[in-house]
Amino acid sequence: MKRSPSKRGFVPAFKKNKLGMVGLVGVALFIMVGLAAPLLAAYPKGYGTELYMKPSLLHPFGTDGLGLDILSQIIWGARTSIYVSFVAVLLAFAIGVPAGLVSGYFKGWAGGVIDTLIDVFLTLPILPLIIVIAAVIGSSIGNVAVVIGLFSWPSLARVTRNATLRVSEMQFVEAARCLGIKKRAILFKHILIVIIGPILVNLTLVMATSVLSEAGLSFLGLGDPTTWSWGTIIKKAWDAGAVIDTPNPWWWWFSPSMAIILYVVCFNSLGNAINDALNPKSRD
Amino acid sequence: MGKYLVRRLLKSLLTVFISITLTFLIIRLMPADPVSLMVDPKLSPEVQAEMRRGFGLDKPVPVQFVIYIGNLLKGDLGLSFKTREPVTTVLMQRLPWTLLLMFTTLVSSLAVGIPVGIAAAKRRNSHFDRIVNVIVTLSISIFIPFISFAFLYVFGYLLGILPTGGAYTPPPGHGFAYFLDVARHAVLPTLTLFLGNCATIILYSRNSMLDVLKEDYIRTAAAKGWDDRYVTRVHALKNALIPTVTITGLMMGSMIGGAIMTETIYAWPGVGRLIYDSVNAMDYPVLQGAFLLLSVTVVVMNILTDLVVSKLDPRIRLGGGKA
Amino acid sequence: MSGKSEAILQVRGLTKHFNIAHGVFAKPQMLRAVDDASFSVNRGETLGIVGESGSGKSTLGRMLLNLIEPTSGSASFDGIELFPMNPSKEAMLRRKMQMVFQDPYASLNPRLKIGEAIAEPIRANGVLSGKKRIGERVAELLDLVGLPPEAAHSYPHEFSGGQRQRVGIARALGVSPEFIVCDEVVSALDVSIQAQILNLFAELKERLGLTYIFISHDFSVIKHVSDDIMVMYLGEIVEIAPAEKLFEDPAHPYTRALISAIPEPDVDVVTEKILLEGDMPSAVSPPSGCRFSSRCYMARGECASIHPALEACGEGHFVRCPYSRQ
Repeated sequence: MKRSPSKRGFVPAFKKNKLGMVGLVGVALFIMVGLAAPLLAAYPKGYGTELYMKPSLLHPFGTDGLGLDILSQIIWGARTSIYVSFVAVLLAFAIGVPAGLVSGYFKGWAGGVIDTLIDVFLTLPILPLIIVIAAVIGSSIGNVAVVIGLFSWPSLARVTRNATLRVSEMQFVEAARCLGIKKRAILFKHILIVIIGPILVNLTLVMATSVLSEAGLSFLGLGDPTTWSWGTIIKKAWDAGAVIDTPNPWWWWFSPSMAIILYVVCFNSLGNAINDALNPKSRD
Repeated sequence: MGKYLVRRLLKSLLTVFISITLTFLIIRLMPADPVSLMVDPKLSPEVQAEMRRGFGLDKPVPVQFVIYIGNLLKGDLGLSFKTREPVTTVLMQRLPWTLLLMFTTLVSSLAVGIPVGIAAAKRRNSHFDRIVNVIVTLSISIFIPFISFAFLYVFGYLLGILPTGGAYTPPPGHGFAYFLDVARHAVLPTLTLFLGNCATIILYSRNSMLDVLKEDYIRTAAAKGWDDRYVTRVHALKNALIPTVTITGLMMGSMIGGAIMTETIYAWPGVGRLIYDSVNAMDYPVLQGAFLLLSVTVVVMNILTDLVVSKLDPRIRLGGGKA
Repeated sequence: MSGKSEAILQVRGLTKHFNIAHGVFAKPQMLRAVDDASFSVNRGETLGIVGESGSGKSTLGRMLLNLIEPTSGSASFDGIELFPMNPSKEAMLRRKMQMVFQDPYASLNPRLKIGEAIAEPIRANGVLSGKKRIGERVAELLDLVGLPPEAAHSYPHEFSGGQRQRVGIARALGVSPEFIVCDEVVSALDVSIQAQILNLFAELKERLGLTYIFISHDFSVIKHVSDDIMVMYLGEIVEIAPAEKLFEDPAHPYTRALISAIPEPDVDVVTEKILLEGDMPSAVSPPSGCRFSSRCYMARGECASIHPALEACGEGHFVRCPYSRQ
């Protein structure tokens, strides 16, 4: 019995990718911190007594202009981030994957229409659109997450469509048709399980960019005032003049920024590692 | 090539049409009172009533849509709640600043990104390539407020050598002095936007160059003993540039998003900053107008890059292929 | 045609033209993949279809299984008209007519376990239900094709080409078909394995009373398995005859050239090879008149302008060449 390289490779190849493993661990940590937030830190509200404290043992990330502990804010911010990521991923998957599958498999006008729609939405400047919508409907965290998710589908649809186009021509798909397998099963079982790799890669990307979008929205003032998010922390720092005025509590905006960067880098590394493990013959 | 350009033009029109429709729908179908989004509640009741009629708010939705498009074609985007000026006027004042920022960002990103990407491709897996890869990975999903804060902190607060906001130090001067002043103010915003865009361009240049270098026709030319630089420059470069130019077009949408944040932080008087101010002032007509304007800007820039791509890509130039 | 049993499949004038024009403004161009194919297959027998690539044999096979829609013509299986197709007719026919594909590496979904690949059509066509019963049937089928029952828990990449082809056969047999189209089923296998698989096909035909259409470009394979043989060239049938007759007395010049090219293992036997010049012309604009005339070694003046019809030249023997007997 022979083993073909593409199947044998994935888990060992992934494990070999150090950056990917680090990313995986990082992602797991963020998820755990976010889920366990109530157990890890008190919900920051009201006023504290020690304003603008430098990072210390008591407050590892310092305190902000209201005397609140920044580490707690970051922990609760993680909760928001993974919430937004998961909502975005769910919506992107629910809309983007079927759109890509249908568009890639059925060669008729339906495929062309969906493809054009994908192009259009990839071209449009999404942030201004989300801003307009968020401004109009009000910015609870649920709304923000849903809006971001609703506009994450085009890139996933594009990836799904391209993969579907390649796979549809393969003989096992023709065989499935001949064997009387229904179209829906062909799309969502046969084709999907073969193309799940690039879809996963794109989903990690969606998780990263959705948090960037949410942070951006919060920074611009469209975040949910009742939840803590990393973007909101940064906004508060900015509004209080923490960046260029004196006194200069740089730690106030530094740690939430680091949180965002780490979050994005972990997901990107994870995605890259999955991608490389799937394509052993790829560019490097 | 004519067929290709016609198809792209049609798609561009469709994109603009969809953004118009989206804006229209957002106002009317959202769980918010559409009237308060278009007519300033602080106006006197008579003026409000008249504006309502002007927008056709008492008529059925499809009729409103027609009126809306009609107004758009006349260049009427409504009145700003804040300043009572026509939205169009406000936008046109701000647009040149945003275009300036995007122009400098684009030029610098391409000027640096393409050579670096190609150099990295030719020296695959060398130290240079690895460093480039790390920088690209970190920069590509950068969080703009962070990088701007870092720049402002270092250059503005610590070193104090660059201005921390605005496009010029008022009052606006004339001539060369004014030009220099604006240029000085433009350094940090451009640098901020440059990082993310340049990273994307490096990534695409490197990858498409790698793909091209692997192609058989390159190996054939090299085997024939052609001078390495000639091979690279003439054959590989042109083909490697095609995906890069294409991605530049696609990048416009996200560059606009980055511009919004950058202008906000640096108080750069462009459309992005306008959006921020309008959100805070709940100036909905300006918000909607800004989105439309930015959509059209992106579409136009895409058409321009399509023109460049069509010149570069012989498959399109000579017709026949489905590029 | 051999007269031993009645025809299970009748095909009349089956034609497929592909439109290969690019874009909205281009002139429509037709690729004439199959033109006016008429033949029949008797129950329990094997019709071998042989021809070069581009002869239309695979397209013909796929039309019979509704994987490609015919441009015109008709066919009936067991008295049922195949075209026009509708969903309920298709569902019924899928349980009677199946196909085994050429590429053992591509015709199985790499992410599905073998057991699932075989079980799926059984479930999907409603042949059996219930995990236990389907599981038993899968084990039965694996045994039928000479694979161990544990194979059901493995993935395709763990098997060799020959073994995968056996899986493909087991999968096709799941719905208990009466008729199987074998499309180049041994072409991708090593010669040593080919014999094993061909023997398996023969054994299954005996045991299960199957009828085959066997498509191949390899004449020696066709010789081995067929009761009747149909030779195709550039989308047309050029000769049909019972197997022994075709080898004893090939009528069409193309057939003669093909047969003369079969490698002869016995060194002492001297064969005179007829060499054909040139390549097969494009099916987009086939030559006028007889399509083989451009390469035919006995072509005469009229051949390029008169299109010959398929005519009888013996019992059960048809040929598309008026000069075949000269």
